[in-house]
Amino acid sequence: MSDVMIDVANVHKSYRMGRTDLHVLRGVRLTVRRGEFLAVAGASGSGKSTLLHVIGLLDRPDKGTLHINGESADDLSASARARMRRYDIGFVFQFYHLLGELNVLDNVQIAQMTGTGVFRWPGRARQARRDALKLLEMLGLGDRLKHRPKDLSGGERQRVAIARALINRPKVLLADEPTGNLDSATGGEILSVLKHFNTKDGQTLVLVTHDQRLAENADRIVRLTDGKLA
Amino acid sequence: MYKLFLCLRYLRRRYIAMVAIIGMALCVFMVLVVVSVMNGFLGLVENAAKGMMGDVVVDAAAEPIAYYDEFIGLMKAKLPDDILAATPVIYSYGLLRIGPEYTQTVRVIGVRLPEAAAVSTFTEGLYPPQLKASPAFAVPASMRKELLARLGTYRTRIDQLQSIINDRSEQLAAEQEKDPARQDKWLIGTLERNIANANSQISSIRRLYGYDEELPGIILGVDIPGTTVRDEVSGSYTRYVEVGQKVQLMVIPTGRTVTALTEPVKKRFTFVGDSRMGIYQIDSGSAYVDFDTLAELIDLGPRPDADTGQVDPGRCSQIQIKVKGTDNETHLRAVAEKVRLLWEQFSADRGEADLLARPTVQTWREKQSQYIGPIEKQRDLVTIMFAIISLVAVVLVFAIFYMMVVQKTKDIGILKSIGASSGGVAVIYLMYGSAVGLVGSVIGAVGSYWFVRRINPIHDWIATTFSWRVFDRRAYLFDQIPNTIQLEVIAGVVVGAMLAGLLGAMLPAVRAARMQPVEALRYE
Ligand SMILES: Nc1ncnc2c1ncn2[C@@H]1O[C@H](COP(=O)(O)OP(=O)(O)O)[C@@H](O)[C@H]1O
Ligand SMILES: [Mg+2]
Repeated sequence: MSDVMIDVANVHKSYRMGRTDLHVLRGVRLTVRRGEFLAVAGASGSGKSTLLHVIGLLDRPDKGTLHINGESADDLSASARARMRRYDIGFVFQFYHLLGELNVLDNVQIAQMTGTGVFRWPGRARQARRDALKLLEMLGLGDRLKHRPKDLSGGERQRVAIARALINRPKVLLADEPTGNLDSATGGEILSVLKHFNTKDGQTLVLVTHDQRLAENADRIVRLTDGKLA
Repeated sequence: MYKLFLCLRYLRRRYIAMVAIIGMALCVFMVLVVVSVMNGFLGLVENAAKGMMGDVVVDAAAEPIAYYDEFIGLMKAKLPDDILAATPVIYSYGLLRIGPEYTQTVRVIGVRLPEAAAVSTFTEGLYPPQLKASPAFAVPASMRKELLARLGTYRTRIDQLQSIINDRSEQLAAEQEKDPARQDKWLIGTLERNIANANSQISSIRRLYGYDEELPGIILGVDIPGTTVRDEVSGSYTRYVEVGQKVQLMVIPTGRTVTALTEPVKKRFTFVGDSRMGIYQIDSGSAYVDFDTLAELIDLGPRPDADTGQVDPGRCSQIQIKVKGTDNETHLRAVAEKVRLLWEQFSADRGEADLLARPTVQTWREKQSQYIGPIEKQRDLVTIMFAIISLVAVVLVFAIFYMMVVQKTKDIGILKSIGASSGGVAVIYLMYGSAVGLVGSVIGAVGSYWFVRRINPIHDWIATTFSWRVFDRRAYLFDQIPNTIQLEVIAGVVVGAMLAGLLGAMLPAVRAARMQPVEALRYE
């Protein structure tokens, strides 16, 4: 088992903007160790989210290679990528992206059940429910289980999103400005939650932020400028 | 399995699902109502024609059909497995007079009763019930007694009028004997008028109201103006012509030869009941009389030649045949062909070529295509309109479901980001679409079933409440809006709507499922 959890090499990504190409990532090179807490800093619009999406298999780079836990993600089929997203990677978005029709508990639970077939469903559903309950308790949402996302505050929503990202005990947790929409006190709470799982469970954590104070909590900070990491 | 879970959650929450269900239900409802009513009309056209004419119809070509009874006998003997019953019919025109006020041209139809009951549905629509029970061109026996009793009151009335006439005549004579200078002109005028009036009353009673057992019977179409008033709401009739009343028919005896000297003939009949075929155009313009009576009246009956003593046979306009076994068209055509061949042989054997010009033999379906041609033409128009309506419904359902899933694109991105496979999310929204579609179409189907079954009361309610009558039976062929809805039609429409809905749901679902998760997430 290699010590490297995420290995990004020579990743390019550009967006078509009308007639010109916006070249956002220009050969990004990044290695993240197992259990490391890495902060990615950079100005707004520098391509931090783009990079995190590539790492989280939410988008494909135009060029370059990506290895997660020693496994190449480049040539995987769509369903293998889906499986990897399901079991290996947890993603926390700046805008939470919770399912509005589901309550808190269901939002978390469903992440554990996307891979469950009909026959294993009853057992897994009970298991998922227990796991989700435990996680939500831990995140202080024990009394919010039946609420729907629209009835929650920003911090609470983000904690639900974190619970959802963690429910499958992924090896990697990717958080894209998770505190960007929150006041600093709530932001601090969210950060301590993330850090807790990083230190306690040894989960690899990549945190994207443009907040210098937040970044300082990380083991290592990299900065994205001109489409490259420095 | 999470798919079903999510799908159920979606259904439980989202008013958009409600909107889609309503949209689906309305489309299904609309199409089903239109198709059912339209199919119903076409079915009525068919059945009405079939009811009126029997299964196979032999029509006179150039000349009326001679030796019809012989031919019917021959058919029954030679085609015992095919022919159930057959009856000759005469068609003519005449002028009908009811009372002093109503005069109307009518189609006069000579029918043999009760023989026709075995061939057509004519006797099923007869009124009063006594007539329907024992169809004949005679006042039903049970009613005759009462009529004869009433005749007594008419006699009394005539006696009264007669005594008035006698009285006034005496006064008048007395007045006129006076010196012309002293005569009261006004009194004379009044008395003269009184007498004339009473006389005309007597003659009209004699002519119209006195029941005369000797007169032949006549059955009138129920919608002939002046005979009835129909309550448009209940569909029941108030009858103004009473059984036993006299009506007058004037026909031109055009049976054999028409010359400039051919005079119309008048004949009085006793009204014995009315007939309702359910087709306004027929019920408002037909008078039915006994076959032989009409034959004689219009010079179609057998006529012995004074010189040679030979009898020129009677003629008819049409022979109606009821066929044994199934009434599917192939079978009927085969029977019609046999009848045609039999006629050829019959005509050859008799060797009276001029008398036996070849008639046309048709099944009722073939016959009705000319008989109700205009309606058949309308069928094309209605079909086109139906196609347009269906297209609109399909596009509508498609669009509703498309929108329903498109606005879930972001959810698809979320599901994909937490590891749902592309196939998995596509299935969720297909299930969602099916569930919404099923609920909607079931509501629509049940609703349309309910509506179509009650379409006539509902229409009548609208007509009385808002004075807005959509369906005027004078304008259409039938006096009721068809109210049958077929299960296979329901199934077809529901399946069609479901397919449209599923296609609408599938396109955006598959498209979003194939996107990179971030692309779907970006959708607002
Ligand atoms: N889908 C897209 N289409 C076009 N331009 C995009 C798209 N996504 C991001 N960009 C652009 O790429 C640049 C980098 O975006 P992003 O990665 O979100 O930056 P950051 O997260 O660092 O603020 C921005 O200028 C942004 O406008
Ligand atoms: Mg960003």
